[in-house]
Amino acid sequence: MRLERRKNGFGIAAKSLTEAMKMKDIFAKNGIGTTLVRTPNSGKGCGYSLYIKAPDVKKAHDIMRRSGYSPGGEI
Amino acid sequence: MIYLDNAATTFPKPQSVRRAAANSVMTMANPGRSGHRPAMAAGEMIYRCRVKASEFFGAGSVENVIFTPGCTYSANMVIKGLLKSGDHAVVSDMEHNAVMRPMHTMSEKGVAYTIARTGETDDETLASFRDALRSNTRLVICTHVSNVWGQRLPVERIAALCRQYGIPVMTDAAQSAGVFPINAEENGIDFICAPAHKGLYGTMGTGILIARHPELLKTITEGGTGSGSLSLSQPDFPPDKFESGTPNVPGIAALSAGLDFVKQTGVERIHDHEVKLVTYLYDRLSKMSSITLYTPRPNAMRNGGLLSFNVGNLSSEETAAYLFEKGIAVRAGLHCSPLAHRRYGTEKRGAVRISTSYFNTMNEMESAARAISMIAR
Repeated sequence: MRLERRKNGFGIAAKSLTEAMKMKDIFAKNGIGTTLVRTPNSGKGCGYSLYIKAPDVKKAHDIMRRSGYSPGGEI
Repeated sequence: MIYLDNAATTFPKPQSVRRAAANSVMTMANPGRSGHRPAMAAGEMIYRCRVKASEFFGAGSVENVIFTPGCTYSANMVIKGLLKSGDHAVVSDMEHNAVMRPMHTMSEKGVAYTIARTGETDDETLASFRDALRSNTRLVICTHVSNVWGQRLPVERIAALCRQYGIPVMTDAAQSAGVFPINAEENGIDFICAPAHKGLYGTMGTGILIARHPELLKTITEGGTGSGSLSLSQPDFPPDKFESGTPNVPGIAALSAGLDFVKQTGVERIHDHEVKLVTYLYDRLSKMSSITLYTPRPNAMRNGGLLSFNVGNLSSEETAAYLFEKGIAVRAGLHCSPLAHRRYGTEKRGAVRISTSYFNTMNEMESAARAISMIAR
């Protein structure tokens, strides 16, 4: 699960819909609103991404690391 | 009709469960494959159900909740997904064929197993399990509540014993989920197999596997999951690893509402109600000379809401047929548990089982007692 720069914000591509929804819940509990959308994928992920607005991305990065994920990338 | 066959499936279902299943059919589509609203609604509902089940059973993580076609399938997933040739397993003498048949199949593939005899006390049962362990024991299976006799087995103590030796424990919670508290994390149980349609008041054809250690299991089914679709290999992460094909959306919607119902009503309250009902019936039957009761008087600590008996020299099926003529629905025969019947010497005749739900009443128990007394004359 990695944070990636997308048009109008940042996206997190999930490996499964369950993972995406779990992360959405974790973000929501920490006051970060996300949008779960279907996105094009190369057949490697699950085809769902969480969209985060740019101002929330640093906080999201920290939350992901605390939750045991490796968000990677430069914010 | 007075329905007293709730150990087979609870009936009726709460109104909220019926509504949830109907609503899913009208508003939801195949989840995890598309971004349109009906598909996303199904995905969201399933995730919420996973969260509820994770909390209810102490799964430790939502990914450890695996939806299955039923408790039998869940048991097959553990037995066939974990054991391999040269391994040994221990099972209780109260196991349903949901456990015994896959164990028998595995025995033809080089897996040995020992049947641990349940005792009059939990200490005796625990000692039987301890004696049955071997250096190559890879799995211990113990039903939580007998589907024939209603006794609760000391799964928590067996799990504590097995933890000392690093042996995974699976429990068949077919008769206990929603009636007795059971928590994988708190009780140290590695795998809980449960149906959705009995004490959790969902619909038939749905089950759960709580897998605290999913990494121990190989898959027994592979297929489309909506994830990693480019690869021909099954995803290696739960729940996708174990959930191939279109999920049972109406069944999971019903389960979700059933979990809400059980939580709102209270497991303890449901259990107390059911035990009170069967204790009343037991006391009535114990005064009838031609009734054979095989087990001690129910008590809240050791029993779920079911009991089995026979009348005079009648076969159990004859008694059940007579009772249905009087409007009482029960189950007779072997209940798919020949071992449990052998334990009490009823493997040829079977027994008549009366099993309750939260919706049964004391008046219904009185009607059942009267009907039985007429047959017993």
